Amino acid sequence: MTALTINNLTKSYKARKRVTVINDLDLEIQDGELLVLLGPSGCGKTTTLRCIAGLENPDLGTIDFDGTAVFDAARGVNVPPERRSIGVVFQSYALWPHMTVRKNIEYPLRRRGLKAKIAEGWVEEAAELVDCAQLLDRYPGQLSGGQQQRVALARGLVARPDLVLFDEPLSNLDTRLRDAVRSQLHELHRALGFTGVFVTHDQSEALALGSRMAIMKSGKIEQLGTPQEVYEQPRSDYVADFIGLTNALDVEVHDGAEVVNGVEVVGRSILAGAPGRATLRLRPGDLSLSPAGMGVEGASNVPAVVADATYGGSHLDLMVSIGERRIHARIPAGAPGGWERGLSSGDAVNVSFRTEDARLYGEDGEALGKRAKVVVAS
Amino acid sequence: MSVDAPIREEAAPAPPQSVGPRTSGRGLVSKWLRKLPLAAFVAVLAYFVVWPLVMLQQRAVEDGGRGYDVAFNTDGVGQVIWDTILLAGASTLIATVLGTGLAWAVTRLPSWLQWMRVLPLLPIVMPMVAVVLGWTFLLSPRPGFLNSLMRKLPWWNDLDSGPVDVYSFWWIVLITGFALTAFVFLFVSTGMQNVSADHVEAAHTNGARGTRAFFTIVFPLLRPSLIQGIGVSFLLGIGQFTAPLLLGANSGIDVVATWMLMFTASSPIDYGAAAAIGSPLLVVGLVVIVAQRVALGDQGRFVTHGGKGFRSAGKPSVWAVLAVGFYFLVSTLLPLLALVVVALSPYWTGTPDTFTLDNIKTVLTDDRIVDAIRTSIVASLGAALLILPVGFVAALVMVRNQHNRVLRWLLDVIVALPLGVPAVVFGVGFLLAYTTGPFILYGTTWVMVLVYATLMLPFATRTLLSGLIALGDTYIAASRTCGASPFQTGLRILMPLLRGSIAGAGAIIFVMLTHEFSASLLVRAPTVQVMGTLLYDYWTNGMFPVVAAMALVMTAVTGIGVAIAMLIGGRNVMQNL
Repeated sequence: MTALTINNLTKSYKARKRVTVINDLDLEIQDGELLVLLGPSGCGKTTTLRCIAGLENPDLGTIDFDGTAVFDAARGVNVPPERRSIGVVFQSYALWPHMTVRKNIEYPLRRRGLKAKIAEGWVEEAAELVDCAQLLDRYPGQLSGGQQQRVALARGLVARPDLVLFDEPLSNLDTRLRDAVRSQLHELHRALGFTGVFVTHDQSEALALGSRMAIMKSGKIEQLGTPQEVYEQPRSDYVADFIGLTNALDVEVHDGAEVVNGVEVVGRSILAGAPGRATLRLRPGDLSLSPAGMGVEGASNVPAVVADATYGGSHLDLMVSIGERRIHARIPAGAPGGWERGLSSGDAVNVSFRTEDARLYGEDGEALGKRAKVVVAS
Repeated sequence: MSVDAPIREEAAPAPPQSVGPRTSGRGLVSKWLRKLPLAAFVAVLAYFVVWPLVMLQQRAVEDGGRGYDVAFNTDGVGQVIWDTILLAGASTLIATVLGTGLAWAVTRLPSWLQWMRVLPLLPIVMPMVAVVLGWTFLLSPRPGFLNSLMRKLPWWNDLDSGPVDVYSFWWIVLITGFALTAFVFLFVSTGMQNVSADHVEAAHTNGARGTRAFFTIVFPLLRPSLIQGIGVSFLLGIGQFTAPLLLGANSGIDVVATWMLMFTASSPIDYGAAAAIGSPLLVVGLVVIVAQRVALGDQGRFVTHGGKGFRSAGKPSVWAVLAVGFYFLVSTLLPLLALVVVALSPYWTGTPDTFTLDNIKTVLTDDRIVDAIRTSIVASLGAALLILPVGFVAALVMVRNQHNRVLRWLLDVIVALPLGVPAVVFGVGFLLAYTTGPFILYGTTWVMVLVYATLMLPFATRTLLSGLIALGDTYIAASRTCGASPFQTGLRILMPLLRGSIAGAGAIIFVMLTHEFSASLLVRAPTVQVMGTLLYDYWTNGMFPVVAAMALVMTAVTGIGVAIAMLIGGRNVMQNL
């Protein structure tokens, strides 16, 4: 088991012009935790993982495994991947098609000088862990996607490496299989307690698996914290957008009245003493709709116009316009024949939300005030 | 939904740190040490590929350019150069038209005749000497089989020779054109695999008819393969040796390549003049290679998506079957049949009742011939075994090495050189390089092995390169992160996964080398003969039935090689050329 420390890591590529993929990144991963790197494509998360694995050659910075440098640009240290004690699970599984499942899982043991462990049954044990014991003599080409994924997992874990790296391992699976493998992975981590880094662009994966999660933006870490911290207190507008607070409204004080995108707010004040201008962030599910003019007491209310309504089974998705801005509200579908079901394009409605659910960000994108913390405390 | 979320401005200025790699003295030394093996590899390759060409130029310019003086003041030099250009241009034109037409035709073969796709590729593996000999037996003015047949026609029955003279310039052009067609076909039909059926269907649904769709969509997408095909065909045409040598000698038609042989083989022997007359070929070769790169430009533009492969919009056509069949007939079947008939006859013109196996027996028992066959096989096998690992390393460097740009560029150029420089020119270069120090190998089989290996360097590298690219990066990364060194990864992951392409490439290399003629003729020694060179000697001595039998044996060796290649490399091994 190991702790991992990354300092000032920088990596750029020379395409037509120089593109910086990792920009002066600092990160500390604690012994036994599964750290999730979350971000949109191109934010540098996979490159970071590949730098940790030794598959990329960073320009600057240091990477330490348990205080021992495996990469140090200044000293010219770059330990090749085969001499770092790691296991990697690839997005495309990368099972070698010319070897049986058994040979695939044995491979790390043989290459790391742990041949004796094959006789001790480590291969079977690893296969057992991921429910693949009955597949050992098949070839990867004969397995389904989910089975291949589990074999890849066994191969990554079998040599009991100090660090296990996951490069979007679930993204090639269909939705149902993904949920199954995800919970299996969670159990495995709890049972084995390995230190791991998990790269994904799927926020629900990150929330479910991460001991901590790091949201990346343009090669830097924008926020690092437990899933609860990040989900409930997004530090910046960027994180808020990525973690599901997808509705953005401009709120400001105008002639003493609070206004969002030019429409006056009725009921509870949103800004409540914060500076005069902010970006208001809301989750679609935290919005309620009521007939026009029928504001909800104790909440903030804004008049809006329905732009489109779609039926989603247990819920309805409504696109509503507030001034020039369009936002998304997801509301319970209600009973057949209910008021919500009748909504269609052009209908005037009242949008309301609890101020506790709202997040405010200044013009620099940073979270405003202490509102978020107050909510957590209450 | 948020539409215009504000972009967070950079709060603090970038930390005061220099951007770009920084290396201390120790790092720098180790960086250079790491480059050393690669530099050594490139240097060794440069020695084998570039050194003979340097020797060539040195010999041409020594004594104040005496070689150039002699070569370009020999009577008829203007005619020779003009004939060379005309032969290359005209045969490439024929090859381009026929090759493109055939590539289109094979897409319209009915499903039960799909196996005919491979027929237009056969001339690539057929020994060119055998084909040319076959044609002389068919169309030699007096005794040629087809000529005799045609003279039975009422309007020609007054002739006692002709009507066709295979020894004339335009028949040399035509036969060369037929042979080069296979190369254009190879490139264009491979290119067609990249034009997805979706592209064509999209054109149709947007209102383009058949021909319009071909000229606005298919043809432009084929441009890179066409340019490559034409380039390769022109290079082979300008260095063309076999047909002018065997057919042109009778009527005094010469090209630059045959003059190079003349200067090195018949007295007064003048290596300087041979080197000098070869210089234009060298220059043209380099120009074509550079021009191809420029014309292809940004290859990414031509990368198409959609894996369906090309499917012609038209129905299976009987004309397509006839076209492919006719090409097979004239490029392969007819010459081969003529060879069989002559090989079985006591004289050139035999009839079935005089057929005998004596010639075949002679070929299989004559010590010189058996020796030549053995040398051919040993040299081809040796060269294949030597060049495959070299090509593997070169391909690996090209794919994996992103750091040493200079070395990689050098390697790229060195590997491309034997493709641009005609085999005859290389032959003279090797003759000069290995009759002097430091390695005097002339008169040994080694010189054959080295020439052959050098000639096949581009082919071996490119085949393995495309195999590596298709394999992708992940299998390698997975192995490295499992604790395997680069060497172990190569041995346990790459080699087994590329087994098919390596073996296929090896077999095709072997096949093409067993009937190598042009370079062999220049570097052979009286004691070191290969099948092609000995066949040429017997041909000049007029022993036609034995020559035909030898050509048949060469073809048989080829056939066995191709069969083995297909057995290990799969049916598509020919497509991987």
